[in-house]
Amino acid sequence: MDTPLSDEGLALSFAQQRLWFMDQLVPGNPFYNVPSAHRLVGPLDVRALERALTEVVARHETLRTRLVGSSDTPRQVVDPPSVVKLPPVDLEAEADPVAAAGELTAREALAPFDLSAGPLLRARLLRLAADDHVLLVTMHHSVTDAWSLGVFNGELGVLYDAFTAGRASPLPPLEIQYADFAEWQRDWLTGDVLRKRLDYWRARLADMPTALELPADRPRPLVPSYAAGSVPVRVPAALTERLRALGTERGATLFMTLLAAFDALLSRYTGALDLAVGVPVAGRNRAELEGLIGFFVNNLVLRVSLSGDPTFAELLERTREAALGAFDHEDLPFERLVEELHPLRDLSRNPLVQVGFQFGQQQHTGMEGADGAARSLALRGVESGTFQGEDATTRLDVEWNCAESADGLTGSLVYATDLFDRSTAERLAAGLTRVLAQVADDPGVRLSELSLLDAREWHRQVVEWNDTAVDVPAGVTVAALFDGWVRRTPEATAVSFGGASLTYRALDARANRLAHHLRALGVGPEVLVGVCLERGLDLAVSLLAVVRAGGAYLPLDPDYPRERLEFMLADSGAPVLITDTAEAPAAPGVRTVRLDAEREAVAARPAVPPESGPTAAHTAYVIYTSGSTGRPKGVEVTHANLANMVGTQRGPLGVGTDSVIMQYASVCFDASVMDMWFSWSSGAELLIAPGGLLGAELAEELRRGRVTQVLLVPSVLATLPPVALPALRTLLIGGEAADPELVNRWSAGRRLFNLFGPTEATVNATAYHCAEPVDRVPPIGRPIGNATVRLLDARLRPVPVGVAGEIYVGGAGVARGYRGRPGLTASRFVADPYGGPGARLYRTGDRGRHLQDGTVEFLGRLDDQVKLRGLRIELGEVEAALARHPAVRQVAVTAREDADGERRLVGCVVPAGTWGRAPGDRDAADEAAAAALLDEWRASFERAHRAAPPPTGAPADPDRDACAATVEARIAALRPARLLEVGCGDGALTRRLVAHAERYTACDVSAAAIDRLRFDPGLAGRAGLTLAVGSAEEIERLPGGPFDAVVLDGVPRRLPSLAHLERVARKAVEATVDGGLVVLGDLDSLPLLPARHAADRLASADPGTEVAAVARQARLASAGERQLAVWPGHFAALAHAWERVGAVEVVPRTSPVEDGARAFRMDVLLWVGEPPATVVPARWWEWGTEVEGLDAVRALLAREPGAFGLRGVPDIEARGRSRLAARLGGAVAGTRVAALREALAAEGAGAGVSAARLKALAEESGRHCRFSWLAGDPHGDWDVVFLGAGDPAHAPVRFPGPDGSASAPPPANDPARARRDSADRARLFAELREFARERLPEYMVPTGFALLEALPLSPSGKVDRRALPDAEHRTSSSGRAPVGAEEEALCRLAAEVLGRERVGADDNFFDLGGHSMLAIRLLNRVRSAFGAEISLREFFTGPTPADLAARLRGSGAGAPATTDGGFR
Amino acid sequence: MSNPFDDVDGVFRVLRNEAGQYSLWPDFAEVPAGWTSVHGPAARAACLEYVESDWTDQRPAGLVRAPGAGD
Repeated sequence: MDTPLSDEGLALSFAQQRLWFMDQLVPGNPFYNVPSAHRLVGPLDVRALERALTEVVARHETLRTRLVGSSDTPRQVVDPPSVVKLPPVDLEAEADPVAAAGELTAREALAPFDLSAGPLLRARLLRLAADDHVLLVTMHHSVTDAWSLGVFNGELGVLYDAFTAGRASPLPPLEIQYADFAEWQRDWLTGDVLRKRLDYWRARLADMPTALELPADRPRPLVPSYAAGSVPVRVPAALTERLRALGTERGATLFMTLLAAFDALLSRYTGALDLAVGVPVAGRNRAELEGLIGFFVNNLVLRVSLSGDPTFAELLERTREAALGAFDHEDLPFERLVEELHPLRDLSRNPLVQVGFQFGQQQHTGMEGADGAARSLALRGVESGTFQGEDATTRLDVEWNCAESADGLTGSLVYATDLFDRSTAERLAAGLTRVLAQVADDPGVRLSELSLLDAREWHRQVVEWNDTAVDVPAGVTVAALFDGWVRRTPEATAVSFGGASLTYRALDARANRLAHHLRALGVGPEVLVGVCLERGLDLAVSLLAVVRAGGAYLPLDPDYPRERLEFMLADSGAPVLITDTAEAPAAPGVRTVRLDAEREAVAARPAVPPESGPTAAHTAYVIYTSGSTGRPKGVEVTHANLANMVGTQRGPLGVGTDSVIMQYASVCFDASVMDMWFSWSSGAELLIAPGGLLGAELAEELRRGRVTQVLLVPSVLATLPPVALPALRTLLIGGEAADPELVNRWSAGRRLFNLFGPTEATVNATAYHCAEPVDRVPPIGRPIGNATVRLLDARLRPVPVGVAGEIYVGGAGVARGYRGRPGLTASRFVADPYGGPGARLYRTGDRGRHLQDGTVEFLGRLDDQVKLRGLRIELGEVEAALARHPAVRQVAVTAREDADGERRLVGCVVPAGTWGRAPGDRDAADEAAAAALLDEWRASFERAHRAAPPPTGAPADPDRDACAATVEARIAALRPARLLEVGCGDGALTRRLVAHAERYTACDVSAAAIDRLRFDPGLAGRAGLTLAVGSAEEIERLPGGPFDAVVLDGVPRRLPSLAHLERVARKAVEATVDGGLVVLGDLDSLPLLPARHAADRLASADPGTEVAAVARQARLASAGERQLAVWPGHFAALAHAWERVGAVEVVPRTSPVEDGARAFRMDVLLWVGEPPATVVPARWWEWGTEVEGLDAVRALLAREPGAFGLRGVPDIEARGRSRLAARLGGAVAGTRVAALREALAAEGAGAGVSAARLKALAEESGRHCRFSWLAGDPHGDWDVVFLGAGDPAHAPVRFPGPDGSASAPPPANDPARARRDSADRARLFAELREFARERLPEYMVPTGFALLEALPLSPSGKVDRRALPDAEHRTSSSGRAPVGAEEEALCRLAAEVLGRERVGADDNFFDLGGHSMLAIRLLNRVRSAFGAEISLREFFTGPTPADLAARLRGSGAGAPATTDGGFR
Repeated sequence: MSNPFDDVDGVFRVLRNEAGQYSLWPDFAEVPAGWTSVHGPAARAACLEYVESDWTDQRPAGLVRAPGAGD
């Protein structure tokens, strides 16, 4: 057949194009090598084999094809046929020829191809012996696929047969070649054909989850290695037949049945109820393609919903439907689909699908294969077989490849070795066969009922990993253990605080006296005693005394709001309260013991212990934790619980008589229980730290007290400076995930344990000893002595290793329950399905998974409980508190990571109808806000112009200057006699335009600007130039009118609303004579605004920030935009609505500006009266369906001499940014900015054309082209007109307006209203914060708020917390500007630390979202900048920059060394 | 992943063990050893109501029989 071999070559198929692109991205990669190796035993006719190969290559152009091209338009070039030689590589002399051949085979398989040099087929022959050869054939995937291998091997066999027999080739010549197909595909796949398929797939894949995350053994690398391993999957013939029958009964093929089972397995492993699997299809649905070698295979995305716990039969029906629909639309190339759907394309995973299923192929070939046509090579007279398994690669995470054979199904599970261990793949494969067997047994089995574990695994997880029995003496309470040390080491220090201390003897005596006192008040077993005391020795004495008296203590932190303390006192029913102040909470019927007032009475009591102490079964303490319904709940912990924790953990943690244990946590948190009772049951010293110590102060306290053990949350540990603390030999962390770097820093030279345990399981349920440096967040370890840990799924069955389940804790630590809350207790403390008779489990609400060694990894929360800096908060409780504010109708609270990486509580409020302003009032307020906005702009210009250096006449901003050139050209062509420029600013445009007008009035609101222009060397003394101070709102009063042209450049976007803009534009039109022109220059396009903010935010974001946070910021910035942005289509209506406007053009600011904010802006041209000689294009072509690509444009230019237009031309820049915005919004949770940037960079430019290219094309043919946004396309696509050769270059062009059929988007944003709103909101937020502060402990008070019209709901009707917005403004700044260098520097430091743009001098650091950790950071920076030490306590008493400045002056520290600050 | 005990539309039982402790229990799961079903199958709210009214003393059976006893 006669193929045109033009210099330019032929188009690539879509699939080839992707491989070519991958090769550009990672040059010299072997990912897409398709190797095969055949062992040929017997007499081989090498000559005939060479001839056969030569003939196959001659027949198939693909095997002579190269892919060339350097930029965005690769082409395929077919080289002329040539002779293929096979000089045998002689391995006969090798000691082990087979091994040598194996090595060469492996090397050959990985040798990269040069796509542009070709050839893309390599053949080598290895001679092991005279009659023993290995034939290696390696092709690049861009020229072959699995089917092709069958064709290749078949033809090679037939030709070898003929040539050895001396016959000619019996094969008929091919009718078409692959490149014809590629061209045909590109032509065919357009217009309706394309639209129909795209419509199907778009609808089918709408809102598909971004990724399917199988539980991996290792974190996903940014760029995968594609290395694959595989484990066999075999299904016996009998089971295969049952599966086939099961499908046949339901009209489904075996393929569908297997896929449905695979989906079920994947769903159970990931928890995903909506998932997609990639399935290859041959892509040869035309007879003439069947005999070709080439890359035809296509990948279909088979998406199936698994929601509603379907039976397998139901799932099969869903799968069947998905498969049939997919096959009906299978000829849309996967690549084209990816282009269309813009999935978040990060290089680390395959787009759209991460798991594949391939049915029917003999073996995995590292290829996108399909169908079982892969015939093996058969050469007459030679025994041939596969020579060693090829090293496979995979682009997917997991693929199941299977084929039918006489023994049933054979095949393998191919897995990415980047992610999975072989053992994990083996478990998955075993799970797969188990699922297949179960569904064959009972197609009515529900998804949730499938069992994934075998008996051995079950036993290991349920029994062996919970074999934790340790002997703890029964019935011995911590009080009894304490007694032992009073006898043994009476003079040892038992407790110390702030330099004072008590020995065991003294503590015992004081506690006994108080215990007798309590006994006299009726305290005994099961009697609760509230203890509301500041940290100190009295607190220690009191807690011990309560236990001594046989009672249980209820710790009450005096810093908590009184309302909350009184609730706990009343709710617990404690009849007695110990305190030392009259300020203490009170409740009816509570007897208060005042330690200060009753000191003498207590002292008079006996110093010996009361007669009977508590028994193991009695309650030891009650600690309240945050409650989801708004009511905190008291956890009752018994002496048996406590004795077990202390008795089993003391040893492993190394507590002894020489230990000094710091009590860091407040007694209201159960960490204190560990510190206190570890110490007193071991003869050690308990060192009570002052509250809230952080950073250097904490380090100093640890050093001074020679503390040997401390329990800290990682975020507190992170504040410690890197000092040596040699005495500190045991460090316990827990409460939140610990950064590996932090763990490694502090585990060196000491024992560091990561602990996990809810209050309900007595402080500590699991422990992990970080004996080795860690490279990820350390696991929480295994259950402690006599504890059990179960990871269960939603059907209460153990989950397989690696799969997430809910953490249930059982054993001796399980507390009695919630005091006075039987219902809540029965729903959280539940029967243990796998434990001893009557055993209970506490369900933690935490997610975790088993690692292979049986340790548990913590994965987060199932519900709305959050931990901030280790403190447990039920969001429901915070919500309940806020909901009581009258202005709040509904509220939802989230914990959000801000862009600075800090997590904070955010209250999202739906206001009650009573809040806000009446409509009339609102309009007035909007007007006031508009006026204020205008004033702000005026003031800021005034400041800027005053501060600017003296004018030089040179353009200040080349970017802006370039834009001015386009306006200039239009004005110059108009030759206006009288021109008015409003908002001349620094005169950049004035200097360009002044030469084109006879009389020129330039005005600006800033007097300073006008003053400067009077002395501008380029303008001063220019004849006809009038400079005036004036605003856009007073055009009619400006001198020199009426005008031939009025130019407002940069002014329109600073107007406070569209109404203002229209008012100004009307005045400008009125001031212009017929035939004149009004230019509204440099105005933002509303539809592109989100993309602009997305691009800005992403550009400035820290690489480690979560993409989701950046996306939310960008949305906020967009919503709060202070500049006016208008939908370009809105201006089309003006031509009809305004009598005097004859024509309107909206010109996007394009080339030469390729970047920056101006790429999102436009110039609006209003022609007044009847416009001069409007150009009307003779014909329009639709881009993408009728015309596409620069070549097509070039052809049109050659063919069409008159003006013609192109509709909907995608701007490569704008498309790129919208894509960026889409990626930002659709990022997988947890993706960081660095990964997104890398992915975007890797993707390259993408679809679209550059304006510069189009302009260059026009110029080549001596013509002009013009761009328009008047149609108002939401993506910023242009309409482009190429003027005819005779058309005046700068005449108006009639461009189409918006398509009337679509509903018009909102015409503009409303900066004035946004400003008024934000002020109103700030007031409400401040009120809400105060309100919360009166009702909740400080750590539970939200620092940020957002206002919503309604709470976002998930499909199940619950509040969708992930869809809640970020805090709008954490609070507004008072804005008092800093005075003096110190205040200025301090404001800047505070702003940096808080991640805000600015902080006022009188702003309270904590009101702006600051907390203690951030305060430490600020004080560290203050120290390096000023060399002055300010303690955290001092800072708490004066937390504003002004206060800090006063302290600095008091301490004699001077101003910072540099104004820039030396503190970065 | 959701927790079966929080399923407001689920069918539950109330179990009690020898110590007199109560547990909400999803009806789909087998009753574990040492526990007796004392209420249900019924709606979640009904089961919790039953627990609220029937479990009047959360102390374990041993202590309830000898209230306030120490040794």
